[in-house]
Amino acid sequence: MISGQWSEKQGRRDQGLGTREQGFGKQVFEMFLARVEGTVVATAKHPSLSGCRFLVARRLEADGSAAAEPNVVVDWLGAARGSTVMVSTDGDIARERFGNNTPARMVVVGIVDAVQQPEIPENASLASKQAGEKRSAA
Amino acid sequence: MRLGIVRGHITLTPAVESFHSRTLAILEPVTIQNLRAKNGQGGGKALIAIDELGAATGQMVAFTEGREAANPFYPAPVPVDAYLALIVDTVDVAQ
Repeated sequence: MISGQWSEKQGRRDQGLGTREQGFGKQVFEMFLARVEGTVVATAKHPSLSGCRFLVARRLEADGSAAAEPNVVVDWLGAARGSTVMVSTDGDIARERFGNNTPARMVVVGIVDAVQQPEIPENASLASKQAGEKRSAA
Repeated sequence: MRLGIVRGHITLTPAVESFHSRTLAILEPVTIQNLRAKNGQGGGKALIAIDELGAATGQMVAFTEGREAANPFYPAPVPVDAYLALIVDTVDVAQ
């Protein structure tokens, strides 16, 4: 995670919400890849979300590992179970579709065909080298 | 949104005006292991969310965090960080 390199302005946001390394219950809000684990059915929900499809998805790290706490994401592209999707945590696209009062935040913005991960160059940072080693070991 | 289990409710008597007559629920986020095991346990760090749906203790819900949690009260400025958006009927996850 890049929290240590963030600017002062982003650092404020970082301190407010924390990073996922600091434990459960804290998240950084940014676009991420996730694996679809299943679906959620809910009758009682915020009125703006009626007719929505909800997926259970786990955030993926660079080494391919998945987060312990799953997220519930809104999907209108029809992602299948087991597929990898890209999730945006910016609520703008949800507000555009469901209205200004919607609490929806995590939205599937694309279904991933392929992820290209080239060889890690010699002068790469230690963190990305470790991620590459974990990836090739997996 | 994340999944959580309602563990209780909170009543505030002296409260800021935007919290008057609001229901607050204590939620325990659910990890994927507990979700698959369907054991009624959470495993995450508990937090408090505004509940307008009337979720009962023990029910599984999904909650939004961050700035979007205040959207349902737009344009009123309500100081919330988590909003209970769904009461889950069923979750279908692969084992």
